[in-house]
Amino acid sequence: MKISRTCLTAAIAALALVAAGRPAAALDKFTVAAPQKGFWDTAFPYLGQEKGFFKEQGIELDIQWTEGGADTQQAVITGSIDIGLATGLLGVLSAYAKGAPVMLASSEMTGASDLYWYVKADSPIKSLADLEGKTVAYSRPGSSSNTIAAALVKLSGKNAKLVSAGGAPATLTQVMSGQIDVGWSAVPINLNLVDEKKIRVLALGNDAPGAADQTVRVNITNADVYKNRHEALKRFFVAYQKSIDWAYSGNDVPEMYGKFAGVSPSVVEQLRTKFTPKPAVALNRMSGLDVTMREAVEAKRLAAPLTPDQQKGLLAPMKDLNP
Amino acid sequence: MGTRIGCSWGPALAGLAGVAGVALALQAVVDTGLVSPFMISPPTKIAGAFGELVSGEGLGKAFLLTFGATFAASALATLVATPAGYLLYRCPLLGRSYESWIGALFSAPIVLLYPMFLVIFGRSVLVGIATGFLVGAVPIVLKTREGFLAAPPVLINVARSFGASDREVLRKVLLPAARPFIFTGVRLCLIYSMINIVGIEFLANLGGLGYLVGEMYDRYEIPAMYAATVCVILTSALFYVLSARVERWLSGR
Repeated sequence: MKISRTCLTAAIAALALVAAGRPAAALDKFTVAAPQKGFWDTAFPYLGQEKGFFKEQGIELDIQWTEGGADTQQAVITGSIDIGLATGLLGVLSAYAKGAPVMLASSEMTGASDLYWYVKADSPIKSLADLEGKTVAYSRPGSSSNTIAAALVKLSGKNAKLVSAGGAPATLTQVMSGQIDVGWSAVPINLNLVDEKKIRVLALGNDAPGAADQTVRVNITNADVYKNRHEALKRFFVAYQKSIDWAYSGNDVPEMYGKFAGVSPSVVEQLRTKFTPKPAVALNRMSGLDVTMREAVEAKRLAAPLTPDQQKGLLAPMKDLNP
Repeated sequence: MGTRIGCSWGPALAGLAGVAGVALALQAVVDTGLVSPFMISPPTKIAGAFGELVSGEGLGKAFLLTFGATFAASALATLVATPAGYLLYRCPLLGRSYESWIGALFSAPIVLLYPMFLVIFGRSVLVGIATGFLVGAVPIVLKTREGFLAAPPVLINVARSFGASDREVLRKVLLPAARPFIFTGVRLCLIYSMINIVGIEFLANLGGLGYLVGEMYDRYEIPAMYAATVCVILTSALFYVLSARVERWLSGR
């Protein structure tokens, strides 16, 4: 059978057209819940995506900003969110112990040097010793600010009431309007008000006993995501780590972060060295788990501390995804 | 005898059978794995969580707080809104002028005013009562005016022809005629007050059943969270039954 030159040319042209029309390899998309927009540590994925680190790994992020705490965790457990960032370890322990399909994918924050508690400038509260009968804010139950606020009240030895006040901006409104006596925030948010002498810092997160070496926030994923999208998840954490490395060394970070968070670029150096040093955001570091479990039992989030086997199971995904 | 039992207990039994059917269906979808137990707890576990709520989480106190706040808000709303509805009836210009405004208030999310009440009253039960009062007064005002307007003019005219004073017309003709409308308003008031009070308890961490639901959710005690939610529903049903009894008592039946 003879094929005419015209037919051959048409066939090659058709194949070329088909090839040209093929889309590029699709990116693996993750829906990510990130709490407290504007905070330094929760900005890494956003900034990394802007910088192209996730695309390099074939990952696309759909970042949804939340108030953190149980809402983020429940969204991950039910599968409506693939990855939950910076959620309190206290809440994760509770869900894990009850058999919920939640996996601890990495550590997010060890220590609490980024958190601080403040009062209005004219408040009669001068120190933790003045907390008797006062209200002390934290973001959401189960969050790291919940853990630290409880530890600070315990340290004060006074009978103060812990109040879930939501995010840092909402808390500021409640403090300034007199609904709550002591507010919480995280650097660099509201530090400008400290400089303007509108608020006074009452305590730092690391003032709480043991907090400096305690892992308080973690990143989580759903068990199905871990099982079925394991390879993509590993690439996610490669890009995440690259974002952190760049955040602590890149010359263009101050401007990008300043624009994103609405703060002066000059605060980035303080964040890198003073408030959130790089070891605090190591993804494969887990310390003070015994302390956190004890707090979880006291707060009725755990019936008993996790057994060694349970602890091993809890930490296995973190070690696997962040070798 | 059988007919009498069928008449008096039939609807209640049918209602309970419906609830039992829904519970069985939920149990089946969870047991067969169609729905994750981490999303919807099986009814057997929800029932089992009541004991812990009572003994360890202060369910009784939470119930009393929500019940008391709803009762106080609704009582206050009834005391204020019923005369207000009468005033709108007696002054037709006022009625025509403000009916649409008050109606608009009914659809407004008044619960969002709770931060303002927190500033005024502090972190206390008064925040819920104030919000419940505002939300609950609206349907009573509207239904009261509607009830008075619906009173048959012939009855009013007959009373007047017998020399009845305004007060007697109000007591012997208008109020009995408007009573079903007023009680519809009170029932709506109870429901909307309670919804808002529970919502504020949940949002502002003020104690009560709303707080208990939020606390169980935050602690990932999902069966207990649903059990607390069931308590909210039962409290609402209790208000409904009580208001029906009060209405029957007032009408002498």
